[in-house]
Amino acid sequence: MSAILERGMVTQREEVTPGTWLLRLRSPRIAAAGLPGQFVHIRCGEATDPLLRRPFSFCDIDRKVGTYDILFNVVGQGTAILAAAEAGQVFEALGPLGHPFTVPSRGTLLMIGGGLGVAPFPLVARAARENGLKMRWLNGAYTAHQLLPLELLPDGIDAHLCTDDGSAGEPGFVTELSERLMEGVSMVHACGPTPMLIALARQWQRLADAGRKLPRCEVSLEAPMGCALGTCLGCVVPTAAGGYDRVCVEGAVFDWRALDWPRYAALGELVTHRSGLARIPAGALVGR
Amino acid sequence: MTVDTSVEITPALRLATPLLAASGTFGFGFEMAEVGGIAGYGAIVSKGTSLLPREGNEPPRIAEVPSGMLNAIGLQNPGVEVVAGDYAPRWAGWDVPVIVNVVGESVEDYVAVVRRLDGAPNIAGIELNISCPNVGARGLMFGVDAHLAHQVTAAVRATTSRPLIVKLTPNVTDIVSIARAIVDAGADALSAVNTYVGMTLDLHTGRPVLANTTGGLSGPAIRPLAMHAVYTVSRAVPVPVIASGGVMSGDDALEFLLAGACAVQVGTLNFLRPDAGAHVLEGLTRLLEQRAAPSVGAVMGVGVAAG
Repeated sequence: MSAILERGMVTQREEVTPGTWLLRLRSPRIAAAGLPGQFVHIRCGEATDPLLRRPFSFCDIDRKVGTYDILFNVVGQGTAILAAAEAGQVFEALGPLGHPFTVPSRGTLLMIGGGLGVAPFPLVARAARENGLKMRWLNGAYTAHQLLPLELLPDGIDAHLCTDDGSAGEPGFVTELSERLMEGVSMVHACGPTPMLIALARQWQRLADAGRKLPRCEVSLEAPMGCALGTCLGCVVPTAAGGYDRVCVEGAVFDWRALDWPRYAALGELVTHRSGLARIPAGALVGR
Repeated sequence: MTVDTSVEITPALRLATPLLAASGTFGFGFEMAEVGGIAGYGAIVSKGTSLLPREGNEPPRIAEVPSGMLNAIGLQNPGVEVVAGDYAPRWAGWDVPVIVNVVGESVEDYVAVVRRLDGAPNIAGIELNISCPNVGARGLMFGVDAHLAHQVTAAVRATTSRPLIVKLTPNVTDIVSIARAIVDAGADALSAVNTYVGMTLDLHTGRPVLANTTGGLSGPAIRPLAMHAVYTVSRAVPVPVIASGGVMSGDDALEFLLAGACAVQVGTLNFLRPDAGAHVLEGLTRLLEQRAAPSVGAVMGVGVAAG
């Protein structure tokens, strides 16, 4: 499926939690083609500053109406423009891009979202519901108001929450809950700040080393991105096979075993801090 | 009125439009072909190709800066064997000629890559990258030293009869002396310019954003700098100069032509819009029609004609 260039019109803008915006764009062709875990690359205006497009995971899609949603925090020029967008304003986007999450046809799916890494899960949950999957939802954030409002997910999800400051759910990190929640699960999808994904991969490696049979685990990564079409080689991550894969083409969703986590972790702190995202509960493919 | 958009770089390299997709912004053309990105281009210049595969630099490799971007990809590429043996045959039947950009760390490297490419089909020309600022080793030195630039150009010239373009680095004291040395060594054309060395730091960490510390600056931020380079070099050498530096529109392409360029590369814009070639060509054609210029050639250098 090749990417589509389409002008999307803002039909709704909502601050779903303090500092976190949901933008709905009417863009029927991209909406018709988008899959859970894929992303769009949005040009935030016609000016040369900010210059580059911004990548955002599909948060949700309504194919009937022909809209898709993105979820973001204001972390830079691009997201500031989007957060100030009025209904009727038009942004050109390229999409759908990247590899989607695998949504199996049966079993139990554990979705782990940290910070703004919750962004792709409303659409994932919609697809999982259509496939009749059982779902568990684990959402971690720094503080209570940064948790994803549960009304963005289908009803009746087995939801587990945790916060770093203990203001909602259990105090602590998603890693502390996820090991228990993985019992009986056939598939795990995770998305969140790079340090969270690194911590999860460490946990999965430890379990695998201890002889435990792991479910299939997929992670959605973020990276500073140029073209999003695979040509600029700007958004790479180190792979287990050696060398690098492109987050925009081979990702953004990877099987966790495809990545060289120790090497990624060595960069990870730099990637996270340098991209300026360490100060906020960062998440999937959030452009600045 | 229909404008003749064709240009001649050499008799063997005649392009249907004056626009070339710049090396490093278009891969080897395959991804862009899939999204219709080749439209508008008279030629595409491939990603830099080295003798052996190169893994490239650690990420982060790119950073956005005002009206520009820094990149330190580190010349990641699959090596000439894959390019000549696998990619080149797949360019058969493409409407647009493919020029292969060549990188190396020694004269022998460059010669070996070009020799291997000489045995491959569907390659319209060679662009020597003697100016990539991201490789700490000797790759940088050729482009900043007139003697070394002459040496590598002459060695490659003796290896291939294909059209030979040499891409100048702007990170030099006297770009004209280096341009002249390269032309003396037998280059058919020059492209001007490659990226400007730059850097940016993260105020939060106090450290450079790029893992490589420095990167090459491209985009509209460098356009006036590139304009000056094209203007000076094109007046100093008798071969065609292909402009490169922050072209975003037909206006920018026309400006480079008026300054003395014979053709114009489009680079960073390919990251912003996959229809970059068609977009710039449409704007340029409209401007030429407004000026009642019968051809691209009719405006070349007229903005700075002697007087």
